Amino acid sequence: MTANKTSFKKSFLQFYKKYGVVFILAIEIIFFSFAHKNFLSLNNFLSVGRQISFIGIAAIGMTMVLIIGGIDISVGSMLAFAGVFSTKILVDFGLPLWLSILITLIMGAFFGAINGFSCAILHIPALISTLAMQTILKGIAFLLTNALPVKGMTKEFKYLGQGYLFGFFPIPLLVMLIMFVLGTWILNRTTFGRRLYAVGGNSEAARLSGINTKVMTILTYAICGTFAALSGVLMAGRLGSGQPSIGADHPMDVLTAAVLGGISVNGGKGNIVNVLFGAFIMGILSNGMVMLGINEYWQWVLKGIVLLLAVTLSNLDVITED
Amino acid sequence: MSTAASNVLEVKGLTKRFGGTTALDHADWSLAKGEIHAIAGENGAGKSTLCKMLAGAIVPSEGSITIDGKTFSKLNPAEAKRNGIVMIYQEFNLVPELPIYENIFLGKEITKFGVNVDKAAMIKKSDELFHQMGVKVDSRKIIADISVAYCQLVEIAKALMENAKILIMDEPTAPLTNQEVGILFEIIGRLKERGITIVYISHRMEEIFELSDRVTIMRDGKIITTREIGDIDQKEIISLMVGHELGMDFPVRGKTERSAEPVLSVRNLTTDKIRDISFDLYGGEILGLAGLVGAGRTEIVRAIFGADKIKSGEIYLRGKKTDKLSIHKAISKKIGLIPEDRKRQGVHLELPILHNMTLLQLDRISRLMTINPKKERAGADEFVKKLRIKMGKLSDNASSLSGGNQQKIVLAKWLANEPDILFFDEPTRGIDVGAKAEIYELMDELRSQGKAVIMISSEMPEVLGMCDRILVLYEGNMMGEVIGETATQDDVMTLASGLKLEK
Amino acid sequence: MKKYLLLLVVVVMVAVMAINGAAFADHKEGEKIVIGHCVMDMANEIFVQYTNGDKEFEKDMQGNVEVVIVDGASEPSKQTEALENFITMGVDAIMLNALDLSAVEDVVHRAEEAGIKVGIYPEMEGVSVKFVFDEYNWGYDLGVDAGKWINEKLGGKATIACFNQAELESALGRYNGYKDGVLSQCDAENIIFLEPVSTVEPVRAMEAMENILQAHPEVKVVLASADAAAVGAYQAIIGAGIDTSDMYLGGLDGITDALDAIEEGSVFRCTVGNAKHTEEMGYDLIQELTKAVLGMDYDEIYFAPTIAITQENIAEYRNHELTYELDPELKEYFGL
Repeated sequence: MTANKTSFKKSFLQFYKKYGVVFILAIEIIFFSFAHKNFLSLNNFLSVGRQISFIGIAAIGMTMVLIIGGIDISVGSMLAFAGVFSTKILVDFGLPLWLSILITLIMGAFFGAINGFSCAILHIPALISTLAMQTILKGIAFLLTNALPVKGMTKEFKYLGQGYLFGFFPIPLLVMLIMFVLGTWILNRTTFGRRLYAVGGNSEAARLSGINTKVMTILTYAICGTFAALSGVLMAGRLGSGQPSIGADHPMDVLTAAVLGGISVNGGKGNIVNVLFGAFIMGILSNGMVMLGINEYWQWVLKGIVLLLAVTLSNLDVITED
Repeated sequence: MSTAASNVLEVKGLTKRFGGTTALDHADWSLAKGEIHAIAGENGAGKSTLCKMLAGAIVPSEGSITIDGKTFSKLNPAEAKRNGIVMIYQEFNLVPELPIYENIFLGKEITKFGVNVDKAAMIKKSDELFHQMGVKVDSRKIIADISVAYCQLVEIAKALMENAKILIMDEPTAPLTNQEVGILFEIIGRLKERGITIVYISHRMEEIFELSDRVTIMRDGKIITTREIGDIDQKEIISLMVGHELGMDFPVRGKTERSAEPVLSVRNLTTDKIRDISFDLYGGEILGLAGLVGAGRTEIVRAIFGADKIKSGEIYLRGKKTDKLSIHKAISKKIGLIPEDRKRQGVHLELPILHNMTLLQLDRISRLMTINPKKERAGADEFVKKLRIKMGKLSDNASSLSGGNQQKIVLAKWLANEPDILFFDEPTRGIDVGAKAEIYELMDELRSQGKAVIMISSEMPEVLGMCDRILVLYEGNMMGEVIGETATQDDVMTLASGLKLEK
Repeated sequence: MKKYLLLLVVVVMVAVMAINGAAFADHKEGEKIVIGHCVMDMANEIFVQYTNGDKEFEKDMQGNVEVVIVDGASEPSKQTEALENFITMGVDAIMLNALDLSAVEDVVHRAEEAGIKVGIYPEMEGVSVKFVFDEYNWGYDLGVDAGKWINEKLGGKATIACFNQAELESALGRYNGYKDGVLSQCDAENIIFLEPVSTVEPVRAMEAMENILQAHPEVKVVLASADAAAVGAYQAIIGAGIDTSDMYLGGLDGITDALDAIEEGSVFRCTVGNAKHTEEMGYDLIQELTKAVLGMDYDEIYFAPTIAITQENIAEYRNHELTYELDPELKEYFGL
């Protein structure tokens, strides 16, 4: 009798682990398709695709940080900082676009590395150190701009956020897909990715296998900072200006996308491909709720519930053992 | 004596499986009211598993537990306590920052008017409990400030508070001095007079004979027998525990000549835990490190391997003095460490078997940071065959394997690096007999290949059976060296207890 | 299995999408009109008032119009996202209180191209309804009232102390407005405008006014582009203990302190404020958009109506209750 119950739990767990995200996504799409006549259109999906690309790109970095057993709250302010910074050096110093972006990405890596340093060397809990960084970057973004948006952006820059490939495919969506290919390669095929999983799954065993866990932690946060900065640059292009006040809900959305994709908040586990679906689930949720005219505040409540639910599901094996 | 009527507890067909291994196999067992019942068995024989199921800490896979006529298919800790079963673990369950009386009343504080904690009443009741036990303890002291022996007394007082009818003690004398053991035995005697049944897990034969009424012997997850203490002697208990004559399973020594020059020399190595350790390790030999838990065996190999900080001392590799090693450097100098705590330090349970096995090979099997899957698989397949690893697919998680096979993939990880010096720290802990024999064979093979091997083990027969030489440690100091072939358990135990050999 | 499931989902989706095609923006007769309204930040009470007006209009239209309200939460990116979602859901019109025009420019144009009527604040080219606070007119109304005072009490001659806020473009409009307003009533040769003091801070304005009273005792008229500054000047004038019977102090905005001072019958003679409550303007704007969607005549520029509040009309102004005016044409169209 009890055996039956546990085997049911087990098979549910396996089902969820394998198809859970796709299943939730499918249910969501079917629901909203019936709920609003204009939901299921190519235009809407491309538009949702663009909206989630900023979340999705940052979620790749967040995934890596989660796998190593950390968390990065500062991706929100990084979104604002990178947008402001890249626009400012482009406008004020007249730097070419590629160079502005490159320098911004390096700054992202730099601040990310500081996060990693705080966690690995100073032993500050990741939640605290990145929360501090969130505030620091927010401050820098406002200092750089006196709280006013940075304008005067070039057309090419705007194209990165607003443009379309072949006249219909949003550029940020394209960049996100390329970044997911890159992320998949890093995590599944490179020596770095292997070591990342090893440190996250069992850091002591990894250390005794000669892996420098501190360097790995710093590198991982630096990569996360870089991805977050890239999403900030694209966001600036999309807004046509560097906006210092954006990104408050961003860490929450990014984290939820990653966790929905089955990335364990306890480290060591998860497959990056599912994070893409996780991002789509989040994007479609807010898109669909706006379409149905549901109050913004309900969306916050629901997003919070979704995060709790996602973490619960990814923790089910632990819970069922209790 | 063991008629059904007087039994306070009966266990029928109790079984616990962890993944592929069976920790307890259809155990039938009973406890008589007011007896002191010892359980003897080697590490991993199932003693703790049995007791933890009684205490509700582990849920049984099968079988039933009957307490005072009430039958349960499983217990949780609260239910177990309610039915009078309390277990005192080796790691105490006390809050170090709180005073003794608060620990005793944790979660069931005496209150005034339902809110205010009545400190005076709790202190008074605590003192009464200690008085019943026949000891004097100031119950206002903070747990962090009192000795291990006192912590144990607090645990017993807690059990009395909970009106324990069956008190399970897991190796209670291990951390105690002789004098403290005497006091503990007196207390146990008093508890028995009050009709409390004591279950007593111990390795120490003398204690078993001094204290208990009956003894149950376990081996490989099975209950072998339960006897009145008068009907059995030490020798018989040991042979029932071990299940075979000592030395039978070990490979024959002395087939290989050890190298002329030492491969590894350590001089005056000192860390936080060890002092002035010096020894030579030759190729083609297995050197044993023996001693009680905490004597500093593990710390020696960790220091050499670069995992712990060295305060002073020198290390020579193949005659050349080396700087302090980092783990990464040690690995590149062909040193390997199979760590003692497999689950925490050795294996990545949530990673695929394949990724576990090739973790040290990543740079070799990759180009431009990208891993070549073909090369990776080929290397792994070789070791699966060679070490006879029983598994599903290479892509399954390591957690799907039995303990023995988990240990084998840790071995595979290190062997793939072709080490010259290999440290085995408790290589056979918690794995089944078959896998043990295979690991012995493998170590012997390494010896015959001329590799230098250090083996650490708490299982005396294993150390005596496998090692060419044995260094014995006591509290971080080297006490002496014995020859594996001629030494006896007594010799090693004497040195390990900090005494000198007489001859 | 996972791949097949995914493939199935994609195939079904693409099929339905192909049938569904692009979103339609054109309004069809008899269909409910949907208007999306994205505000700057619901944490600011003024936007709650706007949307309360939206809801009143919704109520009056008895189910013929639905307003979907989205909070921009002070994040330009959210506003962009909200507008994109409005476009794809096929709303008929969009009302936007934009945080930053540069961030929504592109998406607003896309909306208009898709046939969606967009109403927007602040001013922007190429949209259906412009919601304008005409800063110049605000100032002009004040200037006219002050000019009348100069003619009546000061014999058409005056030296005027001015407060403005140099760094803000909208404040400059107010400043120019009240200067022109005065000159519309009086002869330019008889009027001297002192160099304006640039502040909206009451304490700084007070100190500046004290200095002006010392340096230019002939100043009888003080005009400020914001009531906050006017209130500071007011404190200085009262504190100086001078005869204020022929003095004139005027400001803009209609803040509570200014209204109190006017009601007391003090030297604070006039402030120009909104003639309508925020709720009423919200109502009006959605109404204009609805008319635009239905192809009726409507106001392309909606000026926020203003009123010069003086001792004569202040009681009436303060007792003004919320009233919504439903356009008769709409009433008739829907048979309400």
